Order: sequence, then structure tokens, then C-alpha cells
Amino acid sequence: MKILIVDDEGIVRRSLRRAAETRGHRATEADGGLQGLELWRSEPPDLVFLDVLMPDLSGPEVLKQIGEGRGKSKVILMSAYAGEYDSKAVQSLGADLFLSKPFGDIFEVIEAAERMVER
Amino acid sequence: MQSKPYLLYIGGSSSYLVPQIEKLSQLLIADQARTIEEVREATENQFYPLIVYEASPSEDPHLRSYVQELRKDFPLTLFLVSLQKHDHEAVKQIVHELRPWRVILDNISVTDLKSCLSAAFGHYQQALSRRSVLERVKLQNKRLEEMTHNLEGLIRDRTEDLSRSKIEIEKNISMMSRLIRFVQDINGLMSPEELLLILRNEARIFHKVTEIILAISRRGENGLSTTRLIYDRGQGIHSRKVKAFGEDSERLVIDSKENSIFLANEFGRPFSKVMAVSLGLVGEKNSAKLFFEHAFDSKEGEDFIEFMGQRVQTLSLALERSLLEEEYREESLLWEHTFDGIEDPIAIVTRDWEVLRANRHFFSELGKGQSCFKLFAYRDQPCLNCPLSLEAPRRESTQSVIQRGESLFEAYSDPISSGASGEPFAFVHHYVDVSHEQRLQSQMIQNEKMVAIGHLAGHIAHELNNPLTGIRSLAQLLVQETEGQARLRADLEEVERAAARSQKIINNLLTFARKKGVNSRELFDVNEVIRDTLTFLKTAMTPYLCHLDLSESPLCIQGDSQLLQQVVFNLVNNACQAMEGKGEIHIRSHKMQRGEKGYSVEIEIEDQGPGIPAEFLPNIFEPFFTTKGKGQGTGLGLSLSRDIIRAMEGEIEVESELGGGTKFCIRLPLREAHENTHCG
Repeated sequence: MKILIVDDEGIVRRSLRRAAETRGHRATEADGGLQGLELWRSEPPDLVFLDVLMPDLSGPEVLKQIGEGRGKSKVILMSAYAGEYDSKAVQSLGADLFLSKPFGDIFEVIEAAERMVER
Repeated sequence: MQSKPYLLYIGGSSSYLVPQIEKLSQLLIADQARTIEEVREATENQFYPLIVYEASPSEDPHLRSYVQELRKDFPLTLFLVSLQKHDHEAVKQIVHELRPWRVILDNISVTDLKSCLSAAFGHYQQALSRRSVLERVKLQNKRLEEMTHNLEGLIRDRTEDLSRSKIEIEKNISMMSRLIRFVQDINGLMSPEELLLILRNEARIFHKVTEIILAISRRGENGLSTTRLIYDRGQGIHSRKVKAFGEDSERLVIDSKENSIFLANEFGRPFSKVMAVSLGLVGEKNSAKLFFEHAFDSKEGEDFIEFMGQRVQTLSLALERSLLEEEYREESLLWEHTFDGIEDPIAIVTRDWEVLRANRHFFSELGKGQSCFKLFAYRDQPCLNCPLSLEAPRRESTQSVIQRGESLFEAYSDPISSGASGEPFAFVHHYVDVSHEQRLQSQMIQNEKMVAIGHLAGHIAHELNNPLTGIRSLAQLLVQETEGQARLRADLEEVERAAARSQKIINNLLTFARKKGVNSRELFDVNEVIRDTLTFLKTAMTPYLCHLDLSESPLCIQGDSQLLQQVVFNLVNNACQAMEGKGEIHIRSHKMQRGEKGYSVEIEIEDQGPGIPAEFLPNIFEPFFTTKGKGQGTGLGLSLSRDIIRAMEGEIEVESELGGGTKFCIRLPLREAHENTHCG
């Protein structure tokens, strides 16, 4: 599947991309909200890893701007602030799952993403 | 030259003696009288030292009786009787009747007549001079008598005068001593009521004074006057306020109709005669008047006016003084009430901590002369930070915080000085209870501190979590990719574990610093809280050997885990601070039987510090109690810890002895974890 990773922290993007690629997925990276929005529009992915707090455009802002243009993409919202959103808040923002950083196990994250897209 | 003596010849029949007498005209002046009328006329006009009566047979017997009477009228006059012939019987009779000086015969020769008359005259002269001597003696006697009489009178007068003035003096002395006693009585006067009582007693002697009323008018600040009437109603002195009476300038007003009407209106009964005496008071604020109801007549009235005249000045002065004292008492009472009305304790204290005066809120029972620390703070020593303990001498106001029981007071100390030296002789201490404010402030600071830590921790967590995400995830990836390369894989696994630990520390930090909300009633494992807490204290605990002896099975309790974490943090942190560089810390937890019903969780935190002096032990859980230096401790840590443990239905105790370390022991009710709840 096609994965878009939007995060201003390089090492986060890199670890997610490497893990996705080991599972045979194709991943593109965006280092901010604006670039992420652009990539998302030009080539809609199956899944988006979207960071909440970014310098140019925040995750929830990206979701708001993409609106109907997101296509069938699933969205996993990530944040380094633990306990920031509950499932209800996540849904109202237009995301499908919330994960707090750091992840317990990176492979479990990719597996959760695969299950979401397959469904 | 001696004048010639007169001679009266009474009779006329003898012709012989008459010419004989006439022959003696050089010697004497002779008159002749024949009848009673002539004799009377002659003797009335002239005094005759010699009378010659001619006794003859034809003489008028009435004439002889008249001559006989004449003798009595003229005792000095010498009577001679002439007879015509010597007849013994006639001589005898005539001598018997007339008692003449001499009887002569009328045929007497001129020579004999002359010598007889001369002798008679000489006899007269002698008698005259004897008589004049006698009269002089008599006169002198009389004068002497008069003088004696006068002298006696004088002595009598003097004696009377003396006894009169003695009585007068005695009267004066008794009056003066009465006056002196009165002045003495009135000098001890405390109130206008007493003045009336004394006056009433003093005027007892005037039975006709039936009532005495003292009226005092006072002009208030607003210019309106109020009058107080003070009167004796048998059972005691009464006093009441009435509308003002008209003032008049007269010192003494006797029986004025206005006064009788005024009193009749005030007392509801008729007043007949009223004497009003104004008591002159200095100043314009007060005026006073005495009313005497009386039944005097004018004399008694004058006596009474004199009596009052002697006393009015004393009365005025005494009343003046008692009114001033009354005013002063009122003022001072006002001050006393003012001070008692103030909710804060206030006391006037000497430099030696002796309480001179204090208000009601300073202490409930009066204990003048005792020390302020004993009365106010129930101590045997001056309070810590007492403003009086500061270096002397002090002339400025100071301020400090002192403790009484569980309360904190801000003590303001202001010196009171007198005289030119300006040296304070006492201090006004005003105490404001700031316990509540202090507690609020401390809690506020604590809260703000936690919020600030929360912000900081949140920021750090976010900044660290992102790189940590990459480190941990990449480590996990690489562990998979290095299968078969055992050493590399082991290294990577180490990196992954370190990243995991870092993640946990950050999570703990976030939880600890989380803003305190409503106390939750979650179930949690005490051991987990202890372990999590110790991760923050690693630096503080580095110099010490820490023995962690926690029960193997989870110890579940109900409450707010964050609050328990604060308690554990406080106690371990205190232990570290107490040991000053070396020693061991024991932290234990276990389950123990609690009564018959259930179990408790017991947490022990023990250090090897210097211990707590026995006298501090009862106080260490009190708010604001601290042995740490200024600015190092709020004195709230243990107090808050106790409150938290009590809120979780637990208890906290301390065991300590000097040099033997300190052990805090917390007991909390153990809860059994239900199957569907997760503990910890």
C-alpha cells in the first residue's frame, strides 16, 4: 500500500518509512503540514501518518484543509503529548486512530495500519 | 476780804436787842422778820448763818413751830434765843423745843452780844468748814464708790466680752472644722451623685430644706444642651436626663416662680419655695445649679444663704473636677471599648515582656503583670521572632511573624515613648492572624509550582519524545535486521531498552506534574507509586545507600496516586536532606493485619539522620513548623502529607530520637483488586 508520512521530526519519518518498507509498502515523506497537504492532493495515499504539532501547519489543520479531497485515505494521528485525544475527539477531527509517541513497538504500529486499510 | 455774815432777827417786841444788833452793822448784816410770811420770804431769798429768835410772852406759837421746822431746813444755821428775863422754866422749855445754840437775855450788853455773835459766827465758820471737809470726804468717797462701781462694770463688761467672744470663737472653730470636714469629704468626691449625698448630709441641720436637686447642663458638640437632674429619693440617689433648663446669670435666685414651675413639671408635684444656687463652672461646656426646696422664714433663709456662701466655691470646684473625671472616664471607657471591639489581639508590653494592658482578644482572663508570651502564646520563653528580642534600643515600628499553637500571627510592634529622651518605655503589640492567608499562599505557591513544573515537563516531554520515538523504533527495526549478528543485536537491544526507560521517566514526569484536579478514587498499587517516585529522586539519593524492600505482591489501595506520590516524594526528600551526605535509607512496604476486619498497607521510610528532638515531635505535623533555615522550607510539607494520608483514611506516624535517625510510618487501608479492575 501507499503510505504518506507527515512529521517535522526526520528520525520519526525515517523509522516509520523503514518499517513500512520492510513490510513491502511504499512510503513518501513530508517534513511539514504544507508539503504533506500538497503530496496528499497530488497522489492520494492509502494511509497517512500525521503528526499533530508541526511548525507550519498542524495535523488537525491539514485534515480540515484536505476536506473531501482526502479520498479513501486512512489517517493515523500521532503526538508526543500523551493522552492528548480520546477516540471521540480523534473521529471528530477526521482521523481514524490516535497513537502517542514514542511507540511501544514500531511493527505493531505498521500492523495496525495494515488492518485499517484492509478493512 | 471776807464778806459780812447775815443775821436774821425773828420777832419785834423787844426794843432793846434790835438797836444793840444794829450797832454791830459793821460786823454783820442783819435782817428782821416778824411774821411767818416774812421769815419764809427772807429765808427763801437769803441764807442766814445766824438766826436770833425772840421768845416773848406775846409770841405767836405758830411762829415758834415754824422756826422749829426751820431748824431742820438749815442744819448749819446757829439758832439763838433771846429772852426778856431769866426764867428757868421758860429756858428749860425753849431749850427743849428749839435746842438753840445759846440763850441770851435781851438786855445783853453790846460787848457781850458782839462776843456772843462772834463766837456764834466762829462756831458757824467751824461747822461750815467741818461740813465742807465732810462734804469733800463724802464727795471723794462718792467718787471712790463711783470709780469702784465703774471698775466693776468695766470688769463685768470685759468678762462678758470675753465669754461672748469665747463662744463666738468656739462657734467659729466648730464652723471652720465643719467646713474643713466638708472640704475633705468633697475632695474625695467621685461623681456628681456623691456630691449631692454629701451636701444632703451637710445641710441636715437645716430641717426646713425638704429637697435638694442638682441640675447639670452640658452643651454637646452640636451646640444643643442636655440637662441631668440628680436628686435623692430616700432609697438613694437618682439621676435622669431632661430637656435643658433656662440659664440665668444670677448666682442666687430666691423663690423664683420659673424655677418652681420647672421643677413641678419635671417631678410632677407642686414646689412651693425654691432657692436656686448657681455653681460657677469654668468653661462654657457645663453649667450647674442647685435647687433647694425650703420652708424658711427670712432669718433662717439668711443663715442658709451664709451657710451656702461658705460652701459654694468648694462645691463648684469639686463638681468641676468630678465632671472632668466623668468625662475622662467616659473617654477612657470609649477607648477601652474601641480596643475590645477590635478583633485582633492588642497589648501594651514592656521591654521585659510584661503586659501592662491588653484588649479582650489578647486573652480571656485578665492577668496583668504577666508576660505576653505566657498569656498570649502559652509559652515559657519569648516567642521565636518576637519583636522585643531584637537588638535594643529600638525606636521604630517593627513587624514579624510569630506562632501560637497552630496559628501564625503577624506581630506589629510600635514603641510608645514619653519625655524628651524619646526612649520607649513600652510597645504596642498588634497581632493579626495570618494563618489562613499563609496557608492559602503556601498552597497557591505549591499549586503554581506544580503548574510550572507541569508546563516545563510537558515541553521537555514533547521535545524528547519525538527523537525518542525515532531512536526506539529504529532500534527495534535494526534488531530485526541484525539477526545472526549477536553482538550488534545485543547492543541494539540495549539501546532499545534505554530508550524505553527514558520514555517511562518522561511519562512519570508528566504524570507527577499533571495539574491537580479533583481527587480521584482510583485503585492503584502502592509499590508502583514508590518505584515511580524514586526515579525522580535518583539524584537526591545518589550519596546514600538505598534499601528498597517492597512486598512482592501488589499492595492495592484506593485514592489519588499522584497525591500519594507527593507524600512519598516529600518523606524521601526530607530523609535525604536530613542525612547531610552519608547514611542509609530504608524504604519498606508490606501488608499487615488491621484489627479484626481487614488489612493495612504499611509504608516505612527510615533514615539515619540526626533525629528530631523530643520536644519538637508533637509539633512536626503542625502547619508552618519547620527546623529548616529561612527560605528552605515552608513548614507545610509534613502538614500537607498528613492531610493527604488522612483523606485516604490512613494515618502517618513518626518515631525518632536524637542521633538515632527518623522513621515515618504510613498506614493505609488495603483494598482487594476486583477481577474486572486493574490495579496499577
